[in-house]
Amino acid sequence: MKNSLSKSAPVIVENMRSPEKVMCLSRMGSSFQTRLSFMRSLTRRISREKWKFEKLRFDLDENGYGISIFALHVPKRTYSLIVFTNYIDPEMRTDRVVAEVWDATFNLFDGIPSERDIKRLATNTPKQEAGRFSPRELVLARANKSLRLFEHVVTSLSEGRQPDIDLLASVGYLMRTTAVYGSGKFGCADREKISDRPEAKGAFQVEMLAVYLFRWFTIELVEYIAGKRGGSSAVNLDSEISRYLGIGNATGLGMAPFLIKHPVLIHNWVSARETALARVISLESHTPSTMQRFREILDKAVEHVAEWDVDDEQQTDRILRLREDLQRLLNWCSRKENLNKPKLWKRIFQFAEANFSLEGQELTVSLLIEPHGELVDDLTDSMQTTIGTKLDPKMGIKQLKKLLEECFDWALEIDFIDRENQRRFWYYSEEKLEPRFGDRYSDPGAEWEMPLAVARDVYLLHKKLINFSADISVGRFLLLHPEFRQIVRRIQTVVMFPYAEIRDNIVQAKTRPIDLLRFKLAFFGASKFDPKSELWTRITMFQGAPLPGQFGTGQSEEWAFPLKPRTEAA
Amino acid sequence: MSSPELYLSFNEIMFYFTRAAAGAGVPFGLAEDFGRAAIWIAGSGLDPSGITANALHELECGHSCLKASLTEVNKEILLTAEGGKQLSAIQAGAALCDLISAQPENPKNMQSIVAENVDCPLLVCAAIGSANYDGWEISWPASEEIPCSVLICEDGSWKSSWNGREIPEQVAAADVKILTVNNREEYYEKWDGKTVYSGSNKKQLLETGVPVYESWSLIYSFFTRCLVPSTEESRKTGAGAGLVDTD
Repeated sequence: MKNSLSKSAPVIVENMRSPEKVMCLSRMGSSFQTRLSFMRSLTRRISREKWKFEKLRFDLDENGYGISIFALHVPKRTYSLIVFTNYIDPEMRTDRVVAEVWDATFNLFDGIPSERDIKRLATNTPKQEAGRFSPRELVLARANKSLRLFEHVVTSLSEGRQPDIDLLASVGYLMRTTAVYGSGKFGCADREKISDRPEAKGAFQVEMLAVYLFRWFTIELVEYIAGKRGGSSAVNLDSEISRYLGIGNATGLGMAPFLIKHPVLIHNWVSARETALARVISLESHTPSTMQRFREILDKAVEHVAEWDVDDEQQTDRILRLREDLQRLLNWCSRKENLNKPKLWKRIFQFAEANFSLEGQELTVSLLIEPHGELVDDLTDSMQTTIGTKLDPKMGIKQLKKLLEECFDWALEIDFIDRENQRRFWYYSEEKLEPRFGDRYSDPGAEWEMPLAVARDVYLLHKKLINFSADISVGRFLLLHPEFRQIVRRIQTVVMFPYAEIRDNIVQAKTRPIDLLRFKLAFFGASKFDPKSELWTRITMFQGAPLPGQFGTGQSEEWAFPLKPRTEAA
Repeated sequence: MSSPELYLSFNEIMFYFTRAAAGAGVPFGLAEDFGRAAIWIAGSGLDPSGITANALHELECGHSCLKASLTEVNKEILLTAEGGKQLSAIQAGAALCDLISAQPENPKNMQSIVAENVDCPLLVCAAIGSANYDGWEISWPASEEIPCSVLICEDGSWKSSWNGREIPEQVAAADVKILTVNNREEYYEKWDGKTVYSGSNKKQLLETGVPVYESWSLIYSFFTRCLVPSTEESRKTGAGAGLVDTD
């Protein structure tokens, strides 16, 4: 990292990885969840504060269609999940934004809804983007069944037996969400309304909460339908199996622009993770307890990765290499001479850096952080921000140019004369505002490109600045060239936040948007990444997390690297 | 007043208004300032579309422009549109904020700043208010008989020279003068008892949403220009394309 950047970036401390290393797309696209991930911090809070769950309404017909309301009581208020389920033609079922019908649509509601609220939502929620919502609704989302698993689980339970574990593990969820909207979308509550509530302070906590409650709903739903179908023969899911069931999610291009549009927030996420890693690898010695926990989580990770199967060839190759990496890590940890020296964690980290694939290195980071909750869990409080980008019009343009050359050298090295380096562009389609990724030279609409091409815009600004001999202020420069106002404001802000910027050209021909998606989803706490193309992926959320009735039972409430239940199918 | 067309969240105001400005040809950085100004207006309990739509319309018609130049004479800075056109308040607001930021700390050394022939003066107030430059007074004539001024206060609040909540109709573009309020005595005398638009309205609006009225359709029509028509090809190559989720 350059000295000049270090001076403006006091968050960087010894043992933290550099932004150049961490914020490149290939490594971002190899990210894993850590104990700081948002789903993980949510379930720790649920446990710590002993949140209470209540099924308020479950008005469903024998097929599971109708209205359900599940309430959650946190220390000072109540939230409700309101779910509408209905029959849809299987041929209409699609994960895309442009879908128009879903098996289930739902809201997270602020409080307990009145009959009037329910009536209003019954009209709007099933329409999703075409409906309108109020600030009483915190989240709007929808989900589709995994047909092959949902029906199998219902049939099995109705006949008095548990579902086939291998089939269950091959999917991992009964339903998958295809969009989860919060933060003021379609009239829902702005984040500002709830940002000072303790339970909503962390990043994406209400969105994660809605998904967590919906997962509970899916378990209740299959058991209910099985009960209706099988009568007294029906059984409920074994608790270990129900805990293993997560919620699926299909994620497309919508997530990618978010990462570019919120640079300070992204810095805070990455800075928290890197600080956690730095704290761990700075430890002089390890304790028997942390060593034991590390070994346990490493063993789990080995099995978890062994159970991770996808169709995508490239991801399959990466998983195979990851399995080899983990085997080498197991071998390294089995040698006594490696364990009896100081700075064990740093040496593990260095071994991974020197020998592993990017997936292996990033998984090692997650493993190293995992046993050190007492040391790092406080960092989740810093993974949010109220800071936006801010212009400093007083700055001289010579100083601005110097900042560019010192902090954006990675962008200035890209040759934008080469058409391939700006072949792609991001835009909103008029079709339900679906974000799409176009080809600048063959698709219409490049003039309405989203302003996400940071490297290209930095390059253009630099080109303009080198032709300016006078050292006028930024304010005066922008009066002459208002087209640079956005990028100048961004530059002046992000130089204070070294992890804010993706250090790659996201409009070059070979950009894989899926790298951006995986990075964000890993911070959410997702697992089992299952890429379907370079544009979208399926994932599993909350797999292995305790269900509402499973907190405080004495079992571990941490759920990293969930494993297939060993319970035999009855 | 007629019924609201819609209730928007503040996030939606930022999203739609920023892109509406972009749809009217405003560079994205200035468009973001326009979005923030719209939020400030909404937070005051006013319809952001009603106050901002004309600025986009004037740009669209070519009556106003974004290109401007600065001249300094003695202790006065003049901001003037190029080509004899009206100066768009979108540019004027941003440029005035930049000039305020560059003013010396000692009020005695501050310059008087005038933006000439501005199409929507109240939008300039919104720009300055949204940038949190409290203690600045913005003055302009709404018509020959009706001088208007606004004082930007702390926490998103502001005072207006007009009585009641009815904003005087702006009959033509006007010169907008801004100066800092450095004489506290004069300040109290002049602004005591004037209409206050409180920034605390925002808290209530976070619970209800922001009502927008008939001008919203104009904002939305500018917004839709930023959307790219869907083609068979782009639909086919979108994320998740070709999939029927029967698995």
